[in-house]
Amino acid sequence: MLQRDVISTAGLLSPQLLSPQNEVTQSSRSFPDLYGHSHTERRFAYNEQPYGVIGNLLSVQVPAPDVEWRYIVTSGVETTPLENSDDIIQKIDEASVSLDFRDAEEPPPSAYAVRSAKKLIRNVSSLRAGFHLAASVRPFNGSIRIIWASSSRNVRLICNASGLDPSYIYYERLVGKRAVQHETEPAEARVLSRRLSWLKHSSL
Amino acid sequence: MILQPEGGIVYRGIRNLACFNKQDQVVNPEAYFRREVKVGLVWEKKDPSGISVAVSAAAVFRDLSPKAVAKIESGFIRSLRNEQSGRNLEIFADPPAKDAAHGNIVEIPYNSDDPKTAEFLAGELARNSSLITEGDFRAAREDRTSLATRE
Repeated sequence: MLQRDVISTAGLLSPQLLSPQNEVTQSSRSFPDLYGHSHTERRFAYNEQPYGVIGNLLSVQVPAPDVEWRYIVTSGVETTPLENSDDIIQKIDEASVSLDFRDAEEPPPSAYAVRSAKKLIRNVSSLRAGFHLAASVRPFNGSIRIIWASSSRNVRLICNASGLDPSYIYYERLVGKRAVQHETEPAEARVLSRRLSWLKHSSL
Repeated sequence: MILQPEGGIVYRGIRNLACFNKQDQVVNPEAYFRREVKVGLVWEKKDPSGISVAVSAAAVFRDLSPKAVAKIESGFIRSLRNEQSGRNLEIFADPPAKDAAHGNIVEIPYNSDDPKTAEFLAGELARNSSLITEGDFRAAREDRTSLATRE
């Protein structure tokens, strides 16, 4: 009964269902797993049935006094895995040390680039809570590049190697494969927050 | 001299994993940035002639050992415009004494000079590129090996 309901209901886990307009947030909690990585659970109600989502785990509140929440893996079902700032910071660390991500004569990301990228990521509230699009983190010529992409919009945060070369945010709106709008903006937390919100609306 | 003036595919060697996603078979914009390194307060420009391309996948292997090879239609490259200079991109062949199979895409600025235009053009080029297949990659590498043996 529970399984069948969950699977049939899981099909409703489209981004639209999880959009803020339809979401009845009963609670949002963060907790560490066995490896110390932080996860955020978002809880919402649909047809008065409470649900929660952690990555690809859908949880259902079972109407029994002794079992409050039961988790069922819904891999293969369209869910919205969230990536938070800790996840991105881990990617920054990985991109900083990996030799496979740069040419032999290319310098690694500078300490300044890494520090400023982490600071920005930590200061964006939507990333702390968890963002529905996973970021790609790549080094280039001593800089750190963090890219979020949807089918019609891209946002790139470029943290340059030194304070002498201003870091920036590049964004573009696509029609097909062509960018019809593109601009750069200062790399500031409030600007990145606004730009990620702009990106989010295109993919809901 | 213009390379591939009548159009046709050109190939770009990709030297590191930041420039492509093998799993998704996607070319990243980083594949089309001009390399530069900051030495003290000065940017040392590594690609002064432009973005290197070749007329065949095998020709890519003559100069480097790439991790992957991207291909793109030369007519598309020429359709792109550098908004700052007002000029379209072009592909010039290396001087014949050097290698007629290679050329450089010009009118792409360095990121340190014009980040907006560099990001835009790199994105357009990457989205309209595709990776050659594993089989074609191996064949091109073997072509290069047999060519070197004959030489």
